[in-house]
Amino acid sequence: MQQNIEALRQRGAEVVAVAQGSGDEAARFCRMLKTDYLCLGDPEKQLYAAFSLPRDSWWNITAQPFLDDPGLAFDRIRHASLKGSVMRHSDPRQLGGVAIVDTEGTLRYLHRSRRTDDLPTTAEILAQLDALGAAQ
Amino acid sequence: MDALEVGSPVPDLTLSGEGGREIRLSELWRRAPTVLVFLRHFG
Repeated sequence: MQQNIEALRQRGAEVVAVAQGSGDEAARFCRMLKTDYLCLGDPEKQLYAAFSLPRDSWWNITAQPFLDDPGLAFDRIRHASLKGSVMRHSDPRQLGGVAIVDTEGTLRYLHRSRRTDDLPTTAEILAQLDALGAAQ
Repeated sequence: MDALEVGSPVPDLTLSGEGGREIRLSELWRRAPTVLVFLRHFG
């Protein structure tokens, strides 16, 4: 997503990453991901709970990836061990998501990931921002 | 807590920035529409 951040900013949007854990953990994690947007920690997992972001099963985050694509699964484990060492207070089963909040604080778009690889495309997010811009 | 849906007001919660700085969500969305990217444990 990092390569598409500029396109989102050109729509006048600000991008903020949220991670479970402290603000320092979130910042370190985002530096590891080489992001250049604001990263904030949600130490009590309140925002994840507010958005009802689901958790995945242990099977889906451990065994299933090896059945789907063993090479990719090994590659992810190599990276995950490093990232996981930074995010000591996050839930490994937690799934992510993307939300768009307008300037009034109203939720305009929400994608709750149903699997680890289930994320909206940048085109989808841009379309939502375009619709929001047209409506305001 | 009821599940948030499109059209709902987002709770103005406080998140934690680097160095322990507290940031309210409303500080972000008042400036511009905000795309919140919720990270997984592994990114």
